[in-house]
This record gives sequence, structure tokens and C-alpha cells, in this order.
Amino acid sequence: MKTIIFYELKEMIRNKWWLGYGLSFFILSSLIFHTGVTESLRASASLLNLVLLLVPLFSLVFGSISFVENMPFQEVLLAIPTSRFSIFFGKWLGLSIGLSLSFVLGMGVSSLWYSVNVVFLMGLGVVLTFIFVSISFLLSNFLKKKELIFGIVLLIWLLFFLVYDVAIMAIVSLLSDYPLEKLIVLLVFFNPIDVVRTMVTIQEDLSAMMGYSGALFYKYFGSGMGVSLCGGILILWILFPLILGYWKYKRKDL
Amino acid sequence: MNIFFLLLGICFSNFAYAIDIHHLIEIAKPFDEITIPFGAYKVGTILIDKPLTIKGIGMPILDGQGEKNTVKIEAPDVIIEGFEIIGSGYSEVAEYAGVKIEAGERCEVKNNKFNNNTYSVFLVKSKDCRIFNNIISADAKYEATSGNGVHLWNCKGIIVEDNVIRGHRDGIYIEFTTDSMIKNNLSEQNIRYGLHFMYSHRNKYVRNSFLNNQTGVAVMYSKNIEMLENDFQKSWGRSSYGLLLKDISDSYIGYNSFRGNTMGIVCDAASRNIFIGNSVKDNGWALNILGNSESNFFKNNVFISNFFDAMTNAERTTNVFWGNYWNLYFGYDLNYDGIGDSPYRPMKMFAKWVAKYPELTVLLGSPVVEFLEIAEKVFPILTPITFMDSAPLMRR
Repeated sequence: MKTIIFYELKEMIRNKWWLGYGLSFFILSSLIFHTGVTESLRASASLLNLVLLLVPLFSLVFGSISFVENMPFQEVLLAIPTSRFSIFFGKWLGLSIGLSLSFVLGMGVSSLWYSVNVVFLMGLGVVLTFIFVSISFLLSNFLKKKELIFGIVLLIWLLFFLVYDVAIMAIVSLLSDYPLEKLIVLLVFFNPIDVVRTMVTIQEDLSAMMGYSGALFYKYFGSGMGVSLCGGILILWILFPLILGYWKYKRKDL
Repeated sequence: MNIFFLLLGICFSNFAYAIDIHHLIEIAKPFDEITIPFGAYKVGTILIDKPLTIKGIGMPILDGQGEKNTVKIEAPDVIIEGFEIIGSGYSEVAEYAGVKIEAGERCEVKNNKFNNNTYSVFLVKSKDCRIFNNIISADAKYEATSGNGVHLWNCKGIIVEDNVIRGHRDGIYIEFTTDSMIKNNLSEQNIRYGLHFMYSHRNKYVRNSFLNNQTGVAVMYSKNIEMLENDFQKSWGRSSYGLLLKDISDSYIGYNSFRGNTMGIVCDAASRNIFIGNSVKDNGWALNILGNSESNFFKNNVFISNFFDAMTNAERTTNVFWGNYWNLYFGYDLNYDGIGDSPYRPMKMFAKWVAKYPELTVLLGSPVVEFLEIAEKVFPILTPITFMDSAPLMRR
């Protein structure tokens, strides 16, 4: 398994996309930090959106491409005595660590350059990488056609990034006569991107702008209890697709 | 005029106990000058009932021992200078202060240090007094059990200048007081307001800094207040504002700077005020103008990188914006007169929605909101139409 992880990592680093991913974070976050010297509040929101936009998208696309393109090699590997477990999880770990490394390097260098503390956001970005690589593995195992996989992957990204929030908005405006706070908190938990966004806005105390309505959300996303609850939810978001994907992979006729 | 020179030269602090300040004041004649050398004096309450100048050399400490007022002045023309005044008492029914002036005229409190007093300087029914160059600090924990740094009640013509005030309930509190001047003070880390006006007309505050207070300045139920060149910074929290105007009319707010507050300026039933040349930057909300505020006029203000520019809960407004700079304005200027040809609507749709549906707080910073904002900009249907700047500036 160790060999597979290192193999994946090496493969990853040799890939020019890996460099491009890190560089794009370096350049874009530098741009935001640069303007952020004068516009701190808006800058932190843009930085957050940058992470929420790029990390899931890249992780999904990278994960699915890498898994599907790598299929013939996996068949070769399985011919020699290697367990499916070590191939699947080795690949997952290697990919996720590689992507996280690129992300952390890109953003870390620029944040050190401008001496801004973004450790919390970077940590969450790494968690998001793991989550969306898991989801991409799940999809690549359940769907057969390559084109279909890439299509669905983009659709999933759009769903989590955009459509889900529109749905929340619709629910809130349509059902505004009912007490909705707990439902909304529950709904947020079902979207990892929303969990991360809410955690960051509460952590940076942006929610204070919203007066007392932010207080309830602080309870669920900001306090010690809330942060550990969110952490648990995010770990579930990593494990659930991963285990389901592996379950399918184990039974798959390669 | 007789002058008592006491123990000038080298003084030892334990030697100083021998000086009985109460006795000195008793035997002094009006308009005498008393000089107190360095030392720690456990005085209880010093009562000054005749015009005197009392000077400390080397910052002698006057300790009220937590009893009542440390220094109480009940006479005109009293000057207190160069002391460290500590330990006024705390009471549920009376307001005990480091220096309390009752019915004083032309009194001066200057170059002192105040530490751990419930109230530090407290003026009652006084006139033309001056509080100058003091460093006032306390360690207030709860609003109910703490007092204010400088408290003016029913006074007239007071000047509060060059003081540093921190850690009180309100930095400076002004009630039923007219024609005062608050100038060049720094008021920070107070647990309620940096400066607080109640029913106090015709006052002026200029070039003060308000940092890290729960709310920078609260001006309430007053008329004709001039607020010039002040600095309101970092009042951030769930009910924190830079400047709160509650029932204020005919006032002038000019050339102030608002930075990093949750809400820069809040107008609640504030009418006929003029806002000119203020710089409002990096706030959560730049302006919150409630529907009960009417006929305010905003001109030449600069709004930069606020999360939201403005908020109102009214459908129609009589407030006028003219010639302000908004960094989120992306209009065009065909005739190059420096004024944008299309009006700017500072009120965001999301602001309105959050006011209506508080649960939408979770979508703060979501890209969906940005997309809907763009749609709203093209077809404004939700934001109040009259709430706009008809002549936004193209550059600052």
C-alpha cells in the first residue's frame, strides 16, 4: 500500500496539472491578498469563495480522470498479488495528499509572502480535497461510461456549489412562516461546501454583521461543540462515499 | 496670595504620610496654592469647599480606599493637577467618583492619572470647567456595576480635551449638558460606548478617536450636535456600531472616518442631519438608515470596501444622497464631468432578504447571492427605488 501511495504521489508531482493547480492558487490568492491590503473584509470573502470554487472542482475532475485513466494499470497490478483494498485506498490517499500538498504550497507561500493567517481556511481546504476525491471515486465506480462520469462530476460540483444554495433560498422564502433555523442547519450539514463556508464566516465573525440571527448559527458552527460537530460531519463526508465506493469496487468485474 | 511650599526637594514616600491633606485644605485661604510632594496618601474623601489650586509633584497617589468620592469639589475655581487618583467607592445608590465636582465653576482637572475608580471624573451642575490631559483607566466588567470615565450631568460649557480614557462603561457620558466641547480624546476598550450623549444639545466633538468600544459613539435624543474629524474604529460585534444616532436632528457629521465597524453609521429616528466628507471603509455595513429617519443629506462621502453599503427597512425614503463616491459603483460618465450618468443603489438585495428571512445568514458569502445581486442590478424590483445616489462620483 505504501508503494502505491508513493507511486501515486510521484505520478501526481510529475503531472503538469499538479503544478498548474498549485500555481493557480498561488497567483489568485496573491492577487486577493494584494488587493486585500486595502479591502480586508471583501478579500476574506473572495478568498473563501476561491477555495470553495477551485478545490472541489479540481478534486472531482482530477480524482475521476485519474481513477478511470488508471484502470488498465490497476488490472496489471491486480495480476500480481495485491489486494484491491491497498490499491483503492493507496490511490485515494496518494491523490488526496498530492492535491492537498499542491493547494497548501500554493496558498501557503502567498499567505506567508503577504503574512496573512489562513491556516483555518487551508485546513478546511485540505478536508474538502479529501471529501471530493472520495466522491469522485464513488462516481467512477458506480458509472461505467467515461463521458458520463465527467458529465456527472461537473453536475455534482454545480449542485454543491450553486444549486444547493438556490434551493435553500427557495425553501426559506417559501416556508418563511415556519421556524426554519434547525432545518437550515440540517440542510447545511448535507452540503460539505456549505459547512465549510458557514464555519469560516462564523470563525471570522462575519456573521456578527447579521445581528442576532447569526447567534443560532454560531452555536452550531462556531462554538467548541459546534466546530467538533462540523468536524465530525466533514469526516463522515469523507468516509461515506469512500466506503461505498470501495464496496462497489470490491464487487466490480474489472 | 499666600503660597505654601511644603517639603520641596528630596522627599521620601513614607515621610509623606506625615502630611495631612485634610488639615492643609482646612487651614488654607481661598485662592491659595497647595503643593503636595510624592507619596501615597490614604485620604478617604478630600473635601474642597473653597477656591484652591492643589498640585502634586511627582504624581502623588490619592487613595480613596474604596469609601466614597476620593476628591470632592464644592467650590468654584478649584484646580487639581498632577495626582494619581485611585480607589473611589462603589455604591448601588450613589455615584462615587475619583473627582466629583458639584456646582463648580471654572474648575480644572488636569494632568492626572485615574485608576480603578467607579466613575473617574464626575461633574454635576457645573459650568465652564476643563478636564484636560488626564489618563483615565478602569477595569469595568459589567454595565450594571461600573461607571463612566468622564460623566457630565446638567452642566454647561465644559471642555474635555486631550484625555485618554479606557476600560470604563462609557468613556465619556453627557446628560442634560449643553455647549460642551469634546476634543482630541482617545476613548478605547469601553464596555459600552466610547462617547454617549443623552438629551444634550448644542455640543461639539472634534478629532477624537474611538477604538474597540462596544459602540463608538451613541448620540441620543439631542439636537445640534457637531461631529467633526473623529475616528471611529473597530467596534465589531453583534450589536456594535461606529456611530449610533438615535433621535438626533439638525446635526452635522463631517469629515469623520469609520473603519472596521460592524455597522458604520446607524440612523434610528435621526432627521435633518447633514453628512459631508466622511470616509466609511471596511465596515460590515456602511449605513443602516431605519425607515423612521427622514430628510438626511449625504454628500461627498467616500464608501470603500464595505461588505454592504447600505440598508434600510423602508419602501420609500426622503433621505438624499448626492455626489458620494461608492467603490462598488460601476457606471459610466459620457460627458466627463466626474459624475456617473446612472444612479447608484447602495442597498443590496441580500441585505433586504436577510432582514426579512434571518435564516439566510447561512448564505452569507455564497456565490448564489452574488449572482442574484447582478440580476437585481439589471432589473431592480426588490430594493427601494428612491434609495439611491443620483449623482455618484466616478473617483474620490
